[in-house]
Formats: sequence, C-alpha cells, structure tokens
Amino acid sequence: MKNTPSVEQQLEIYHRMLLVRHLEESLGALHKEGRTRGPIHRCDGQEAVGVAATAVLEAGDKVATTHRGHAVYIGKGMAMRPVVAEILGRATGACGGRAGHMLIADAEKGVIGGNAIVGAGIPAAAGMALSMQILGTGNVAMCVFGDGAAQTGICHEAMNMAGLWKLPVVFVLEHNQFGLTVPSDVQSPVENLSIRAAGYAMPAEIVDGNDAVAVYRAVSAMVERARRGEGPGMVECKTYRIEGFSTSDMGGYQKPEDIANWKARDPLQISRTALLGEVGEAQLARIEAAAKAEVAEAFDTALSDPMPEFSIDEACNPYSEAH
Amino acid sequence: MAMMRYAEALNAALREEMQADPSVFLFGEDIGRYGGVFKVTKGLMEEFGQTRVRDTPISEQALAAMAVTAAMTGTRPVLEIMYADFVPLTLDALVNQASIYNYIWNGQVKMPFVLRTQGGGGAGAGAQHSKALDSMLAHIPGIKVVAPSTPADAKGMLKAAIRDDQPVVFLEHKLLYNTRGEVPEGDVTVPLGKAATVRAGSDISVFATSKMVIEALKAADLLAADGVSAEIIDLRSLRPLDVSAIIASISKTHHAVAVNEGWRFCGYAAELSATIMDHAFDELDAPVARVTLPDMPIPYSEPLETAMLPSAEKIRAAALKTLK
Amino acid sequence: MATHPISIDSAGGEYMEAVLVLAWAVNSGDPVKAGDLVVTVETAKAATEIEADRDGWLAEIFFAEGQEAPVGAVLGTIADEKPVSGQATPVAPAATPAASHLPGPADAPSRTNQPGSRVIASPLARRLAATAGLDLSAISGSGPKGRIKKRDIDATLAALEDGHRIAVRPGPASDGLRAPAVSAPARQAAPVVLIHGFGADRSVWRQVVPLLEPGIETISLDLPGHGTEAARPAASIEEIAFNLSDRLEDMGVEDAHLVGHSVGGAAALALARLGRLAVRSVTLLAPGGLGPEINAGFIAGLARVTTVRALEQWLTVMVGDPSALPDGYAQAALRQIEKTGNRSALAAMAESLFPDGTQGFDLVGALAELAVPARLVWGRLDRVIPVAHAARAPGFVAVHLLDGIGHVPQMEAPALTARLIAETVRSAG
Repeated sequence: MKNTPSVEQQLEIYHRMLLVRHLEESLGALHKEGRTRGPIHRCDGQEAVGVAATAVLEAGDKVATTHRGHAVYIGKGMAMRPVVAEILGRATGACGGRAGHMLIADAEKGVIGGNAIVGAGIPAAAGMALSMQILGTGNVAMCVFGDGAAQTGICHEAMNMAGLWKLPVVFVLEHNQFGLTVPSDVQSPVENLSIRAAGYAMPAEIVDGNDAVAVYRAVSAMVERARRGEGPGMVECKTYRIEGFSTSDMGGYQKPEDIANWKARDPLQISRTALLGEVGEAQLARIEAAAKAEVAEAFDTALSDPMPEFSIDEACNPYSEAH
Repeated sequence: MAMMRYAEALNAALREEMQADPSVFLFGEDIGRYGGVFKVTKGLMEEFGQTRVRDTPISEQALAAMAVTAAMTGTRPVLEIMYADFVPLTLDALVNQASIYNYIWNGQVKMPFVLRTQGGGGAGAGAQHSKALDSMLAHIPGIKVVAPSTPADAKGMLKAAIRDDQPVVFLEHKLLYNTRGEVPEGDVTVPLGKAATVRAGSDISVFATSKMVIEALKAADLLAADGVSAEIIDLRSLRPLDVSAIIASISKTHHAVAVNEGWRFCGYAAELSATIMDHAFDELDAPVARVTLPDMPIPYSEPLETAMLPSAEKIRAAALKTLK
Repeated sequence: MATHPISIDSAGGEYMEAVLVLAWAVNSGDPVKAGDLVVTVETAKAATEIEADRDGWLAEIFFAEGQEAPVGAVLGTIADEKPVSGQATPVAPAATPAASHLPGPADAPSRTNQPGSRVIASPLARRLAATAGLDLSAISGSGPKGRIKKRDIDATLAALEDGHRIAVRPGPASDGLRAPAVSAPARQAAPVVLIHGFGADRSVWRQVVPLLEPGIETISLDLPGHGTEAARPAASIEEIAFNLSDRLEDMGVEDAHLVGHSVGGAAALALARLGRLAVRSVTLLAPGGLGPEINAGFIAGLARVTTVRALEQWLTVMVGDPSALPDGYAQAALRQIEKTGNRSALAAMAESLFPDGTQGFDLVGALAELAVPARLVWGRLDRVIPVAHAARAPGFVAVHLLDGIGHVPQMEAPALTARLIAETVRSAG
C-alpha cells in the first residue's frame, strides 16, 4: 500500500514506542516513590501517534507538541538520557532542568517544542511553516495536538491562515477522548473533529491512532502534499488516554470497560503482531530487551546527575545595565 | 538629515531593513494593499511582494503566536497589531510563549520578532481604541518594550528592534504619526535601552515616553515661565530601562515627575517611582509625583476624554506641587 | 559687635576631614594682637599653630580642647571690641547650637519640630544634614506638612556661614606660590608654571608638586578671577593669557615649562601663542580649546555652588572615581570659594568664556604651532570635556589616555601626572 513504512522503519517505530512506554512506566514508578516533581502527563497507549507521525519527518522538519509530548520527543529523534534528565530536573537535561517534562525542546532535532498552553502548538507549527515558506526551505512543520486543543479559538485562527496561505504544515490530531476529565462528546458537537478541515480547504483523514502503520501512511501523504507546496492537511488519530490526565489525576471518570477495550488494542501489541511474521520472535525480543536496558540506563545516569544551579538570566534584566 | 513624518520614518526603517535582510517580513491587518491604517507600510507590498508583506485575517491571537515560532526558525517577522487595545488578544503569545523560550530552552533559540502597535488617546477613538497598555507589556520578562517620541528615534529604534534577537514590542502613538522631525539619512540605529535628555534642567526631572514626551516638553515651557527649570528625560525604552540616566538626573534635581499615559494603579509610573527609590532614595527631596490616566475606561466625548489624559498642564501642576 | 572667625582651611596643605584642637593659647575675653598664637591644632602631620590675623579680643570658642573640628570649621571668633563679661563661653560642636536658633525661611509655611516628635524630612535632607552634622529636630521644614527639604538645610548652612563670614587677608603679598623661593635673577633652570582650571585655584597642584623631582622648580599661578586673583576676573582666554604673561614677566620669568589643566590648559596654549614667554615644553591635562563641547551644567554648577553637598555632587562629575577624592575635599574647596567670595564674577566669567555652553575659544591651531615637546594627558572617564578632543592633537603631541580617570588627573592620579610632567620637562633638555 502507498506510503507503507519499510520493515526497518516499522522496527524503529516499534523500538521508539517501546522506549516511550518504558519511560512512562518508569516515571509512574518513580512518582509512586515520590521521586518526581510536579505533574507528569503520560501517553501510555498513545505512543503510535507521536512516534509514527514524526517518523515521517526529515531532520530539517519541525514539530510542536503538547504537554503530553514524550512520544514526539523520542519519535523526532531526541536521545533518552537528556529527556529523562530534563524530566528529573537535572543540569544535564535537554534544557538544563529549566523546562520540565511539558516544555522540552531540542532545536537541532526540530523539536520546538512541548507546549502546556492547550492549543498553542497549533499556531506554533503554523508560524514555523510560515517561516519555511518565506525562506523557501522545502521543510514541513507538524503540530501534534489533542481533541481539547481543537476546541480553542486559536486553532481556528491558525488553521484558517494555514489553509489560506497554503502553509507547509500537517496537523496531527491525537484524539484521546478527553480534555482533562471531560469527555470529547461534552466538549464538541461533532465526533469526528477533522470534518472541520473542509472549512480551511484542507484534506483530512481519520485513522486508527493505535496502529502505527496506519498513522504513518496517512501522515506521510499529508507531509508529501505540504512539501510540494499544496498546503496543509490534517490526520485525525483515534486513540485513548489510558493513564489519566496526569499523575495528579484522581481518576473515576473513565469507564473500566473502555480502558479494558483500549488496553486490548495496545499499539505496542498491534505493531508487534504485525512485525512478528516479518522478522521473527528473536529479533523482537532483542529490540525489546535493548529498549528496556536503554531506558533503565538513562534513569540510572540521570538520577545521579547534578542538579542545576540558579542564576539570574541577564537577558531578562529590566534595566539596560546591571543594577 | 531629512525632514520626515514619524510614519514615514517608520516606513523608511522597514524598507531599509527588508532590503538589507531577506529574512525580514511583515504581516498584519490591512498592511499590504492598503498600506496600513496609519500608512506606515505604504508601498512595501508593491516593493517586496505578497510573500514578505502579508495582509492577514483578523486573528491577532494566532498572528502573534506565529510570529514567535517564525522568529525561532530563521525569519525576522514584524507583526503590526493595529491598536494596542488589541494586544491583550496576543498576550498568550507574549506572556506564555515569547517571554519564556530563550530562558526555558537554555539559549537554544533566538526570537527576533517585533510586534509593532500604536496606543494612546486624544483621537476620540473610544474605550477600545485609545489605551496605551505599555505598563502591562513592560511587566513581562524577556521582552523589550520601546516607545520612541521622535521620527529620528522611531526610525533608528525600529531598525535596532528588527535586528535585536529578543522579542521587541514597539509602541507607536496615533497622534505622533504626523509629527515631523529631522531624521539622519542612511543606516543609523538608535540603541534600545538608552534614555535621552531632551531638555536639560536643574530643578525637577520629568520622565516620559512616546507622546508624553511632547507633553512634558510643553510643560517645561510652562514651568520655565514659573521660574522652574525642568529636565525632560525621554526614556525611549520602557524595558530595558536606562536607570543610570534616571539616577543621574535625580541626583541633579532631587525631584521627579513620572509621566505615563497608562493607568496609575500597578502602572509604569509606579515602577519608575519604585525604581527611583531603589536606586536614588537619598537623592529625593520630595516624593516622586505621578501623572497618569485615572483608573477608569477612556470615554468618547471630547471634554470627557481630554479631562482624562495626562497633559502639559497636569505635568506642570504635579511639578509645582512636588517642588513645594 | 563685629566678630571675625578663626579657622583653619586645608590644614597646611593636607586634605583632611578634621583637625584636633590641642590647646587654646588665650582665654575667651582676653585681648589678642595680630600674629599672636591663638590656638594649636593637630593635623595629619604635625601640630599647627594658628595666629590671630588682627588685633582684638578672643570672643568665642566653638571647639574646646580635645575636640575634633571639621576642616574649614570656625574654631572661634575674634571681636573688635571687648566682649561683655560672661558672654563668651566655650560651647560644644559648632553647628548644632548655631542651628537651633535659626529662623526658618520667612515666606514658607514652617514648623519647628517639637522635641521628641518624629522629624519629617526628605531623604535628601536627611542625608545632607547627616553629612553636615546638623540636628534635624532643630530645623524648620518649609515643605508640605513641615517636611524639611534640601533648601532648609541649605538655608541653615548659609545662615551658619553668614554668622561667621570670613574675611581672611591674602597671605604675604605673593603673586604665586613658589617653591623653592628663589629670587628671579638667580634662577638657573626654567621653572614649571602650573595653571589650574575653572573654579579651582593653585592649590589644586598640591598633590603633584611634592611628587616632582627636587630639581624642578614650580610656580603655581591663580587664574584671573580665582584664588588670590579673585578681584580681577578676565573675559576671554586672550585676556587670561595677557594677565599670566604680565605676572610672569613681573616675576622675572622669561622661559618656562607650561602645565595647564582644563581652562588652564587653554590658557597655557594661549600664553604660548602670545609669544612673550619662551615656552620650553607644554603638558596639558584635559585641556580646553580643542573642541566646542564642555559640560555646561558642570561649569554653571561650580560657579553657583553654595553648599558642601552640592559641591560634592559636582566633584563627583569631575572625577572618574569619587572615592579617589580626599576626604573633606569638598568642604575645604567650598571654604576656599567662600573665602574668595566672588561667585557672581566667576559666573560672569563662565558666561563669557563659555557662551551658550560652548568653549568660546579654539586653540587647536596654537597647539599645532608648538615647536617644543608637548604632552596631552586625559582621563577616559572625563565628563567635563570629552576625551574625544584628544584626537585633535597633532602627531607630535604625546597623548596619554588614562583608564578610570575623570577630568582631574592631577588629583586622581597625582603620581602619574607628576611623572608625565617631569618627563615632558626632561625631554625639553
């Protein structure tokens, strides 16, 4: 089928999804021990969206994501250790411990960046695309955003301009059914939010967000269009938020049977099943062991890394001289 | 030197910077075909094309947010927000986005964008088109806020703002666009963060920006007739603030009037007053006076609006009271 | 009853904050004759004896034995008539009792602070009062709600001054300080003639002169309108040059090394251009005459200054690092200005020398015409005359730009200044 990722690509996607899953589970365990700081927004069960969508991108392409962006950070090529160290507030973190897990960026990798103002990633990606269009770089910007962000006013403004100016941007809607505790059907009159793309003269496709290959194919088509200068596109990835809004979430509002149903359709399992016939058990087991070891090592190192030291940022000095 | 209107000086700055640097682009409402509601961008779309000079939908919130990331990815956007009163629509982009990334991302990105806007009263534009709002903007760390009062500074500072790697909010004033002044020819920039003593005096220091500098200069004439020698400092930049210039002037006059066209409560004049106390308390021979807008909306009808706005006469009265 | 102050200024050439009163040689009420020892004080170096400058009676003693007195303070007074018995009694620190019975300015709403009540005073007034040793509770505030403002402190200090107006005769009829004193015909080498800047006097060289080599003879001249020449102001740089030339001629000086500071530098160039004196070398410290700019506020301020605090502020502008100024310098300098007592003449002179805040003379040509060794010394932090003027010096002039130094290298860097003067002199052979 057109735009199907190669086996090697699928293996790398599977590897990165494994990394993200281990990251989320390790953070969950550390949180229970009281060794994390602040809320952490896990993406267990949603890894296929962030990882497979960004797997389409080239090095010079850029992505903006949400407060739940771990899969995008790793998917777009950031190494595990600086991500873990940043989440643990260490000096060795990707942003020196200044950003925290919601706002991680790695400009060289094109991760610009996590964003914890719901909806803000949408104009962020549009702005990057505007820059790419003006400079004629041939690159593409991507926004991974949620069904909550789709209800913001700025989503409309940004998508309208993206459509109007044919900006090279792809909007990947990670539809995980909830905005904090409120289900999507209490926030929107339509079930399939991507029907709105028509209002911005954008093509849209709805895919199973837990199927990495399906996500990859659909996003790939939109990225190609955008790179050709034909304007933005949208991919609505249907998925489900297994682990609650954040580590501070008390739960109780998600139906147990929904959680069970979606867990049965775990994206890791779907990818594993698809790959088993292609590469065999032994290779998958190797990848799985390697991913587990990589994350464990990243945590071991980061936990003993130094904490950052505070200093005043002179660029923020309200006076034109030091006073 | 050439005699220019303030709006023409801005236009010249934009043209020169666009000619010199292909990464500079302009966007905003009505700025292209129409040349801007205040004609600041007149002729630029014709010269530079629709890719680099864009008319936009009425989408201030997203425009500002797009300016932030466009600036982080290789361009130098200059966004025009037609009225300062609309800047609150852009506040997420300024407060939660632009102001944080240089620091939060540990210096990974630069953010060379300029948000041009114009504020201030006196034109009968009513409560939603007359505010200054400079205090609110100057509150935000990581963003520079400048407000030149002369055509020469308008040009030189806009050029400097476009070349600055930090976000700059560039505040113009609707009643300054038609003022005229000598503007140096060629590539002359005026540094951001340097005040100018526009009139030397010995009895009292008056600190102001933008159109309030014009009022302060008129006040200085009135005060001269009262036998008072007022020193007028055009701060030019609200943030970063040239605190050395303030201390130097206060150390000479020992009396100060802080003038700001915004609201009084939590306003820029209050910041100036606190800054003076922080750095030059022992030079003060009287409390710092503030001349500001009263803390209420700006009404439409002329006598109502005029009664609200800071003026030369109000500055004079404040100065005389301070010198008692 | 007319009284005349007994005071000590500059404490024998040492800039000090205070002197210690060792012993009064006369009791109050006793008669004194001009030249009699009145009081002995201890300065930094030695005991200094102060003699009566007139016949009369020791009327008041303001600083008792064992008390410290600020330099420039009035230690006591000599009356023309015999004081009424019991009238003069030693009193504690001068300022406070004098201040306590001063009326506030008549035309302002005023309130004398009641003992024990909180004193309302501006931060500046508090600082000025603390510096001058004034008790705020004894001062009437003329500001809103009786707030004491700077003007009240100024008025108090001025009233104190008026109470003890000084009429000190110039010392032995000398036209210049000459060290060592050598009679004109016997002189072997050309002397170094030192010319001070606007608002100063020849004492500005006091730190540099002892640092010059012993063989170098110096003559420190007061500019017209300044110091001992206070009564004879001049209106132009040419007039100054003629005046200096006349006086040097009278002293038998035919050839000299010129050292000039600021306006004195301009005067040195004008003197050289005049051609009546054989100039052997020229050392210019932050000289005038090399460009139009000058800090007009500084000149005007210096000409009208009436308080130690105000003078201190202008002196801060004058130097690169205010802490480099000797303690008590402003007080001593102000005392000097007060003694001279020709403020309006000085202001008029400033106006004619610097019309519209501009240097009214151009001596770039005079500098270019010099055929002798010339040296230019300028502090990079000069806020009175821009150091950029140094760039106008022609190629043969040695230019020294000093880091961290303001307008007065001879005070801020006396050793270096002395060395550079000596080297210029030596280079003339």
